[in-house]
Amino acid sequence: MTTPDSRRDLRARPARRRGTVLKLVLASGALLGIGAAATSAAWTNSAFFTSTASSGSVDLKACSSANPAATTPTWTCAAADTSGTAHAILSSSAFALMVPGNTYTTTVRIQNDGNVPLSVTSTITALAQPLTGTAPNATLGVSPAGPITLAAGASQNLTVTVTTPANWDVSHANQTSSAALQVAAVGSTVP
Amino acid sequence: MTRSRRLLTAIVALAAAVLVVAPAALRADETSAAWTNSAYAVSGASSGSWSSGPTSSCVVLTAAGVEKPGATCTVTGVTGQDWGDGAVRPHRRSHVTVSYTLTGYVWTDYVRFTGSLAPAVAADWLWSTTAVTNESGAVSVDATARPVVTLRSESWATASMMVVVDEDG
Repeated sequence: MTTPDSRRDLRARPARRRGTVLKLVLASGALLGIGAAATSAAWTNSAFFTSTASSGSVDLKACSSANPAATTPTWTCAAADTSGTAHAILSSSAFALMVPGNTYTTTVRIQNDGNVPLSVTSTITALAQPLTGTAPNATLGVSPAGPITLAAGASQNLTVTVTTPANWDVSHANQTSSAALQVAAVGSTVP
Repeated sequence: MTRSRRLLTAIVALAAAVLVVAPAALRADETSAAWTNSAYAVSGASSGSWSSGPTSSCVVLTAAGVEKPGATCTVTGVTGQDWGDGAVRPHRRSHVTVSYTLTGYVWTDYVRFTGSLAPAVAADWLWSTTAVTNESGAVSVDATARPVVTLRSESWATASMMVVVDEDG
């Protein structure tokens, strides 16, 4: 037998369920709101600063000297941003009249002319005879290859080495190229 | 757990995930947005002259200048000795000795050596300006294809021939 009170309970049940769902929706909205507040600072208190703003400049240059072994070499630098505009290594005579079984070196320089530090990695590539062709070929090296961190305004000397094998193939003899090897230095802003 | 409680839990988890992942994604953007600038340098290069050359060899010749049947000559070494004067490229000088063993020869015979002197000196030796001369009149020298040379000596001289190699002629 149903009492007036229990009938009231039965009528109230769907309404209570709707209330629960409503509370859940509100609660999730609140949660999302808190999430947003975490990133957008809903409780506010302000302190204002003024500041000048400027963007960094990234400018790595390739430098060479006619006499890099001098006590105070005179360096000539160029932007040389692409392979096609590569800076000519002035002391290229270091790699003249190479013969088997010998090591030849010269020094070049990279210079950070930007206003932010750079992480620089250098590589060397053979482009033409006498450094390309029939194996065994000469071994090329650049040191330090990096990555090295170069502060704004700083420079770093790189040693470029060509090692000819003792059994260097005779097809490499009597060869000349004005662009036989290329050093590429890539500088990236330091995170 | 009731349905509504499960729903609430899922929403809470989703919100937490958004809060955790979003800043990390922003950090990833920061590290991948590096500026780069390159600098290229190029150099010329050239190579000198050298020859794979013939394998060193020697023969015993008769007084008439023909190879003597039955006689043998075997090269045992081509070695150089620096004069120790501290000279540097291209002003170096070296004494080069070609050593060999002979069989079946007589004192009137000759020995002819053909081979490269390059193994006896520094690898960067400048052969284009080099002069090769004998150490005694008993050795004749043909160095037109230097570092490959042809040397001829009287067999009775010794079991070797010596020449002077001057880098600057």
